[in-house]
Amino acid sequence: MKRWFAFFCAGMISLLVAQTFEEDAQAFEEDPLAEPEVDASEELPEWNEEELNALESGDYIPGSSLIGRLAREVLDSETQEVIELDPAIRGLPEEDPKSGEWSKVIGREFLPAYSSKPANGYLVDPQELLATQEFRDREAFLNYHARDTVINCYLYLFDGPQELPEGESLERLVETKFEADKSSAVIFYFMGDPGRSELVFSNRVVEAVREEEREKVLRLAIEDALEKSDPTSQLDSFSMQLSMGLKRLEEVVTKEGGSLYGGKSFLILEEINPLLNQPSLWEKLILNQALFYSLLGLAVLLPAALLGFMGRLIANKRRVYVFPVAEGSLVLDAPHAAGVGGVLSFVSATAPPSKQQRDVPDYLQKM
Amino acid sequence: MEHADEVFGTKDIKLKKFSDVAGVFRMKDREPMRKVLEDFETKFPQLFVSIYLSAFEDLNSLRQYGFWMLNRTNYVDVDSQRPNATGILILVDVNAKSASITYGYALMPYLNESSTFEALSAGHPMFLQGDYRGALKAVIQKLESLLIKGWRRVSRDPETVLAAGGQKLKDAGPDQGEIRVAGTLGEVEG
Repeated sequence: MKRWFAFFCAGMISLLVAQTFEEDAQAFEEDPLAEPEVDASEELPEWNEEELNALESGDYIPGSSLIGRLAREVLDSETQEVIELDPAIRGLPEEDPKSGEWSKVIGREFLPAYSSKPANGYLVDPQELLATQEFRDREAFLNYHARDTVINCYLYLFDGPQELPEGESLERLVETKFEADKSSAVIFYFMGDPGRSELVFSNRVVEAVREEEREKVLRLAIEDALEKSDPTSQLDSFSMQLSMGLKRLEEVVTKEGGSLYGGKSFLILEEINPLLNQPSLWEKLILNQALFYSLLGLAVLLPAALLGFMGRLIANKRRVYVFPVAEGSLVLDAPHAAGVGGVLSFVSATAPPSKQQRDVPDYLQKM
Repeated sequence: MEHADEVFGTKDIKLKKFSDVAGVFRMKDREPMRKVLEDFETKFPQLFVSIYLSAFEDLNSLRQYGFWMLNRTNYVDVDSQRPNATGILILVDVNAKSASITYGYALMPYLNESSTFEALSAGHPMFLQGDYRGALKAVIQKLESLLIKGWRRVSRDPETVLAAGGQKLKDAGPDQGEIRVAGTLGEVEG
């Protein structure tokens, strides 16, 4: 907006100058020898006697009121030349640069946004210090961080030289506006001056994480940001390192057996989650010693029994059976064999073998 | 025996333990059948099995012929330590479609008519299909299981088991029983 206004003013001035030159040129063309009319108000100032004498004696330097800096340099130089400023200028009170004063102050209209928790999102930039696309990128990153981690990260953006109003502080904001039982990290970030950044955690994080670990998060983020020169790049590096630091905090807490309960399932306390309290099948098995040892015994015995059974099968297959030597008397006067066994006929496929237990062949029956 | 001799003759005959006079076995099936018989002899070092397949036309009694055959046959490929008294003859009449089993004196305590009929019945389905090789293999496997059962019985109580077969232990020494390897399993008194 300012830029557009500057362009507009510059355009208007150049238009006026061009118009003036055009008028002078026309006048010159009409009467090149005619002297220009002199307005009484535009007459040059004349030296008065006193000033002229001072000038001639070297006590007065013309334009010293305008080139005070140069005069100072001359004064500070080794020549030790004394330069006296214009008394009119000397009497003026010193003024602070108005622009610097203005840049330190946060507009009243922005203060409500800085003194409350954001209703939506995690990025607070009421002064629009970030361009629209930059704002969206940062906001998307913080949203992603919130989905991925337990500790939500709220980022308030200020201009580099801006100062908080008296009575306002980050600690007070976190204490009054943020819920103590939720894991939050609130940052006041000063654009272009990351070293001024402040980070305060909610009570839940403070209780769970050691102080040195908490401080480490901000320190590393600032170090990363300072490696960049562009304010936007600094903010990028700062937020990314901050996110990693917060994630690391969660890991530290988990390793130490602590908890950062923030509504995430993987960090839900066991005592409030009945599902987690239920032991797994393996745990049940370990707990039930009788069952465990029974199964262990079965696991050992079953293969052993199987192997034994197979071994016995093989041994039986290779086994040799020797009968005792016996003696007896002859039967039917047969020298070797009197054991008359069974006879089976397999003429009929439908009749069972027991029905075909006969010693008379078919051809004899036909006869 | 005299009656059998009158019917079938008094002269001894020489045969191999596997004889397929009927010609129902193909050449390639004969060797596996012999292997089955050899395996049986390995498992029962005192016993042997003989198979005779023929197509009889005027045989009155297959059982009688088996009885005569086991007493009159000299098996040329059976070692002398296995006399016919330790043999089992499986006789098959492929013409009359009937089979019988005859066994020597040594096996009388372990086999009988009922058990041998059971063994033959194991091969009945294959006999019906004309698969003689499969049928005879099944019969021999069944005989093996019957003999193993008999061996267990006689190992526990040899005297009772042998007495049931009309026999007694020849020389009841300390090693008598399951581990004794005797040259002759069954000896008979004339």
